[in-house]
Amino acid sequence: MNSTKTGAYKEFIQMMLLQVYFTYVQALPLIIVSAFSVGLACAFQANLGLALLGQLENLGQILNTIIFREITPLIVTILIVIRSVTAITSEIAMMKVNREIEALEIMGISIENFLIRPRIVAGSISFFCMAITFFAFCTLGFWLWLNNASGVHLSSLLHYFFITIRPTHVIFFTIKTLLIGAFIVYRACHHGMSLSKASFEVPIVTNKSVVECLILGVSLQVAVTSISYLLFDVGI
Amino acid sequence: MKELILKATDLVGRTTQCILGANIPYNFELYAGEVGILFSENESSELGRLIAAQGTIKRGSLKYHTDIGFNETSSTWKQNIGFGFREKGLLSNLSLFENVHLPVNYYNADPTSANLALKDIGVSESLWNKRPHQVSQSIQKLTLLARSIVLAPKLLFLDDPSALLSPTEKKEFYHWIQRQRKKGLAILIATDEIYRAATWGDWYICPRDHVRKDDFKEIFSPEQLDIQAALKKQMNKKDFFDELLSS
Repeated sequence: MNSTKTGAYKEFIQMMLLQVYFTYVQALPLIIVSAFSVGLACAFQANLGLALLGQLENLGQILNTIIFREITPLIVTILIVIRSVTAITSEIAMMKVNREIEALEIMGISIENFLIRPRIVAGSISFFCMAITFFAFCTLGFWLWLNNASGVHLSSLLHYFFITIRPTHVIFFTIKTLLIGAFIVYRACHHGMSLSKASFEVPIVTNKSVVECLILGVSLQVAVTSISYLLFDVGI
Repeated sequence: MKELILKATDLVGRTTQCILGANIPYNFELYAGEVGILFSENESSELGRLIAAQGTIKRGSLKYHTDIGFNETSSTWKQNIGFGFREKGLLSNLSLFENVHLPVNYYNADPTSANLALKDIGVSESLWNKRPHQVSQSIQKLTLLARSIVLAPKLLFLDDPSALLSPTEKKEFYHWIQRQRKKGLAILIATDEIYRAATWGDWYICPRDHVRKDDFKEIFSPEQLDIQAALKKQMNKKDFFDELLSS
């Protein structure tokens, strides 16, 4: 029995790492390009407004409140829904059509431990890593525009940012990313498993999954942000 | 004295596909080293699913040998039951070898057993790293058969095992079945190839009353028995192509 647990645990870890590779590592080019573009666009808008008012020190506040706490989780939610939710739902649905799920069940291999849980854990970890990567490249794009337009140094921008950020911001950012990642992937797996056995249902369940996960991701983001503002006063 | 591996008593069950034995309940005993045949009805392959606890028993009982370790709350006992799918069932993102090795890894079994199982069934080593969609259906079928015995189960259920196999592979399969029988596996085969089934099997479950019958003479006419005997003889000798190649 113990040797079975060891084997199952190894399979779990292997599957989880594979999923992190698919969800995070393979998405890196997309994350980098979109983060950089968002950073440039935000800097353009922020610089335009703040330069007129002569309040460039507020750039740190914008970087924290808007980009770090709101835009990053929101755009990563969209990216993960576009790339991974579609992939996970259709993969599991096709596994069901091809009787791969049934084969696993007949072999006594736990579907939860072999298919679902590794994907949920990997989804959570990948979402967090994607958010960190997104923020890093977004900051880079943000700074590049500001440096070009107003000669703002990277050290000054980071200085303004670190003045405004509080530990509660980081804690809520972590909770938000881990939670949304796990929930989205859980729902994607659930939709994949909901298919009966016909292949014509695959696009139907994938479509439903994408819509639901997008709504769920945005709703969770709003919920966590509201909790953080209302209950814990993690405001500006 | 032979060990009783599986006993069905007045068995009526339900799987996702159908209700089994609704009109006539199943009654049979399967002993170690025996090959039982289920002549293909709609529900015969579903009996395998019921044996692998992929359904619910509505009436009667299904008793397993204590070594199988049947346990309603856990699924690890299923490693003692081999299930050979008719088609499909291989994980498409894994190679043939990884497919056979997956249960070995999961149950931490002997790491060489996947190699042995694939070699034993005759899947060429050059194909082991290919994915299921890159090989023919007959190779996929052989891989499914290899996976069904990789954990050295006590009980083996094969769903239409000779379907999709070439005549040469069918002959190989006959010898494979004999080897599994010698190892002491209790084997149940659902098939519609009645003549071939009679060469593999020791007994069959009569579709009329779902009861074990030990003599194939009851269902075969003298002419059919001649065909069956000729087929068995052919299985044990070199075929035309073998003779041609060796000469």
